[in-house]
This record gives sequence, structure tokens and C-alpha cells, in this order.
Amino acid sequence: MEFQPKILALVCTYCTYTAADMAGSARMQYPAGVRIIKYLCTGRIDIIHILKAFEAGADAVMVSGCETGSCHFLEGNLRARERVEYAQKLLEEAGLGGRLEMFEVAASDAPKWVAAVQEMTRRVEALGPNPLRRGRHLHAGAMEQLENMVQS
Amino acid sequence: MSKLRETLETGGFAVVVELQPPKGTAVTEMLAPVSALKDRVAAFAVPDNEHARMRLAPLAAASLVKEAGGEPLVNLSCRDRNRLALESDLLGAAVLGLENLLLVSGDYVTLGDHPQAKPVYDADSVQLLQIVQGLMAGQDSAGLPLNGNPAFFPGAVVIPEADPLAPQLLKCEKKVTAGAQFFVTPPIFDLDKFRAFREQLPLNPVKLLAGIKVLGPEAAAQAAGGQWRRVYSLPPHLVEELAGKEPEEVLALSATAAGRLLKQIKEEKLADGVYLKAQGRTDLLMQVLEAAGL
Amino acid sequence: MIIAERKPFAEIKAMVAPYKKILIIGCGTCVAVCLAGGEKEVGLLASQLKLALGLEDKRLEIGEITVERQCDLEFLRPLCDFTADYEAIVSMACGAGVQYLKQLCYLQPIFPGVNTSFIGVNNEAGFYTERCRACNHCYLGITGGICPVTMCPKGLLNGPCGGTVNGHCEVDPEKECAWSKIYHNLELEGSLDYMRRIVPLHSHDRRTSPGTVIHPAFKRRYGAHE
Repeated sequence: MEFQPKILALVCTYCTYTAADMAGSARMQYPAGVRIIKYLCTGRIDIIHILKAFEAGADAVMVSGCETGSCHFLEGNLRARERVEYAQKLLEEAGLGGRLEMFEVAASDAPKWVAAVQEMTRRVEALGPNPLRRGRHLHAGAMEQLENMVQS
Repeated sequence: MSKLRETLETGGFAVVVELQPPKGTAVTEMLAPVSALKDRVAAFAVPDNEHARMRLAPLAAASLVKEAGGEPLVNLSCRDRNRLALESDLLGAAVLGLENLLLVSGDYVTLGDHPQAKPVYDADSVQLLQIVQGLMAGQDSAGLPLNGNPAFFPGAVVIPEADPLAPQLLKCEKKVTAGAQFFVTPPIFDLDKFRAFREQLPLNPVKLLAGIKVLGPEAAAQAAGGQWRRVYSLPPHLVEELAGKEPEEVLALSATAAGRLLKQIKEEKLADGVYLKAQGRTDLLMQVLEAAGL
Repeated sequence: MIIAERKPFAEIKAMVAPYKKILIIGCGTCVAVCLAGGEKEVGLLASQLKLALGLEDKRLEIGEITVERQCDLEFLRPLCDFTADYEAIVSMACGAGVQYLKQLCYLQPIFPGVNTSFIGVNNEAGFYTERCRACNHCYLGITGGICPVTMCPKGLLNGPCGGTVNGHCEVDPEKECAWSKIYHNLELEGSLDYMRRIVPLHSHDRRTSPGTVIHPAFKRRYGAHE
């Protein structure tokens, strides 16, 4: 099975989500491996969310918020920046470095969103899948069992 | 009676020369100035793990100085010994015939070559002076009587260019109360500042020895590079004079400058003597004394 | 309060390496305030361990629980019910809490998750500074509210040493000389006389190791322990 990167994007409502939405409306093409989690503000992101994402098998995590100075909640993105840096350190210690990044995407900047996703996808393709995902595939008989359960 | 005390009390100008104890047991170089200068100077000072760099113990070094015919001045630092060891060493100094003491707080361990050592500072310099006072009166710091009282001539340090100056002067007063009979200053290079300081602190009848130092190439480089972080300042003309010169030339020029300062201090009676530091080198010491006309 | 720092991850990982089932116990008081060992930090450590060990294809079952504090039996006793289920325990409490926990859970190895640093204050989130050395002979009344034992590296009691440069300490040029500050405060208070008196030698016997304090009201109750 070809490797499909699974990237989790933790984005803020007021800037990045809007930009991503616009990218969609404008039918901009970009890698489909991104799952967006919408926060009101990146300042709400707790470091444990990021670590749990990797535990669950995410290949990479992007945090994307407003540009410095433009946060709708004034300082949320600054706190997110500090937390992302600390999370990067914790991940480095645990042996999963290089898979977390923070971006600043203004609401009108759909192309920047696209570029960010493309960059993370490239990075994941270079690093390979999250090693914790290996061994998490269904065993031989499971598919049949599931089909039986669904049909009955 | 201590020769140093005699010189000072009879109004003589006391020249004290500092030796450099080795980091090891090779003491010949340390003792060289003693035989050369013992008839020209009042005392030979031995520092105590100066700058928190481990060196031969001052008691042992001072004892050798005495054997070689010199008058010793033992430095004792608060950094490395608790009160038991300090008192014990003081008694040791007394029985070895070492009367002259310079009691200092001591540079912190992280500044030296054993930065992970445990700093002691069980007594500070004022308390140590009091301990000396107590021992001379026949009791130790726990109030217990001594079997045989020592006699000492104790001194301490004062910093003329301390910033802020007020707390330093206050502590100086306490040192006098605690029994200090003479003070030594860090190296003096700026006579104007020294004169101003002397006005603030006449110190009579307690004596003052002005520090005189032959600056080495390292210090000169630091000063030239704006990296000067000491408790005494250098006049800009001296920094310029020494800048960019070869090490031996720096030392030679410094020695001449030191000699001139010494001469002036003596002529103007700005101090009762000097405490001369010249890397423990006989040739430099002699150069300073010649330049000072001593 | 007590300030601590979480131990380096590599050290903790090495400590728990031999085990398959561990419990991480957090403390909700001092170490939680200084963001080293509270409930959140327990969660982060557990997650890090799962990630790191997962990369090595190892499985480690990790229990997480945080109690109010680990220096009070009242909060430790409820833990007895299930600590026995685990092979080893990582305690995020300060040294006092770790030892107290060990007295209770004496059958399992207990590993400290933090290094206890000092008694200090919370300047701002993430920024803590030392203020007290627990010398059991407080001088703050005669030193203008600045501790000479803690704030002066040499612990001098009678004024500054000869190493002050521009009002700053010879040991750390970024730090103001404690005695300069003491003088300044006493001057403002109008109490410079305190500094003019010679402070006698410090009594280190008030701080023997390990120390014990029995409150005067309880002397009868614990009289037998003296």
C-alpha cells in the first residue's frame, strides 16, 4: 500500500481556517492528507493535544494561526508559538523530532496555506511515516469478520 | 614583636612584597625573592589560594619564608575553612612564629580552578578578626579557655574604589572594632582617587598599606579590550602605554610605572607602606624598588 | 514554595527501562505551580514515554494520577489501594514528597521525576528565583528584608566583600551585590544601625541534617520522640 501522509492541522478560526476555506472555494489543488482541527484560537492548543496526535499515529502536526500582532484574541498566537517550541523540544527528546511546525497564515492568504501544507507533506515524505503507526494494521481474518458483522 | 608591626608603629614606611606559592611542592622559585630582598623589605606576604586557585598552604609557605630569614605575612581566607579549622590554623601559625595576618573573605570558588568545590565562609572577615581577638585574649570562638595564648598583628582589606562606597566604609569601621591593626588596599593606579579616599578615611592609628601592582600582559590586554572588571581602575594613559606591547616589555613598563607610584605615595605620605605584587618575580620586584628609589 | 525542574527525559527513560507497568504520580502543590510536576506535566511525561518507547517497539503501561501534595499522609493514604498494581513508580514531587511516598509504598522502586532546586518565589509563569536557604535563623529583620545567606553567594553577615564591581556581585555580574541592596534598604528604612553592629558567627547547629521541628503546642504529644 502506498504511503499516504496523515497530517493533522490545528488551526485558528479567524485566520488560517478562513484562508483554508478560501483555498477550497478557489479550487486550489494541494495534497489531500491534511485533517483540519478547528480551534477558536491557537492559544487554546494544549501541548498534550500535540503529543496525543503523534501517539495516535499522525505523521506530522501543523499549528497555524494569525500573524504576529493580528491575533483576534490579542496574544493567543504568541502563547501558541511558545508551546509549539516546547512541544518540539519534548518530541525531540522522545525521538520524534522534525514533525511539528508552526505557521502564520492571514485570513486572505490562501496561497500561503497551500504552501504550508505542501511543505509539511514534503517533509513527511522525506522523513517517512510515523514509526508508531507500523504494526497497526488489521490482521488477516479481521477484514472478513468486519464484513460479516456489517452485512448481518 | 613582629618586624612589620615595629616598622609601622615607629613611623617607618613598610614595604611588603607578595610571593607566589606554587601549585605543587617546588618552592625554590617562590622563595627566591626572600634571600634577595629580606634586608630591604618589611615582610613577605603569602596569599591563601588566591583567586580560589589551589596553591601551597600559606602556613607552610610562611614557615619556609621564616626559615629563609624573611618576615612572613600570612593571608587567611574565609572561603576554605570552618571556624574550627581557622582557629586551629591560627594556633598553628602562632607556634610557628607567624604573627602577621591578613584576613580576607576570599574570592568565590566559581572564580577559580576548583569551581565545583564547596564554599565554606563559616566566618566572614569581621567575625574572623573577632576570633583572632578572642584567641589573643585566651579563648576560642566557643568561649573555651586556651592553654597558651597566641600573639598576632592582624590586618584586613579595604576597597577605596568600592561602588557603592558607603557599605564598604561601614564594614571597615566594624573591622577596626573587631581588632584590625592595618589595612591593605587593592592595587592603586589613580592617585587622585586615592587622595580623595584618604580624606574620607584617615584611619589613624590604624595603618594603611597601599596596593602596588606590576600589571601583566593578560591584564593589559583585558584593559585594552574594554574587558576590565576589577575593583580598581586603570588610568587611560597607562592602558595606552601598555597596549600591544610584547609581554616582557609590558612587565618592564609596568614595573617602572609601579615604582613611580610607590615613590609618590611615599613622598606624599599617602600611606604607611605598600603591598607589592609583581608575580613573585625577584627581577620585577627589584625593578620596582629601584624605580622608587628604595 | 519549593521550585523544581523536571529531570532530563533521557534520565527518566533510563530509570523506567526495566519495567512494563509504571505509575506516574504528580503533586498538585509547589511543583504544579512551577510547571514541573503537576497533573499536566504528568500527562506530558506519560505521552513522551509512550512515544519514545513506541519508537523502540516497546510497550509500557502507564498509569497517571495526581494528588494534592505528597508531603502529607492524608493525601498519600488513598494511593495505597492501587499502587501495588504497578512495578515501579515515578514521583513528580519534590525530594520530600518522593521520600514520604516511599515510606508508604516501600515495596516498589520509586524514581524522582524532578530535581528539587530551591525555596523561592514565582515571579511570573516560568520564571522562579531563590529566596530562602532554610537556615533556621532568619536575619531578615536586620538586613532590610534581603537575605544575606541566600542572596549573597558567600553568605556574609557583616557587609560586602571586596569583590563588588559597579554594585554587582563578583560571582554573577548580572546580579546586584546583596549587601549593596541591604545597605540601600536599611538607609531607606532609617535602620542603618543594624548594619553597624557586628553580627556574630552563624549557628549552624540550628540546621542539623535532617532537621526536626516540634511545635511547642505539641511537645507533650511528641515528648517521647525528643
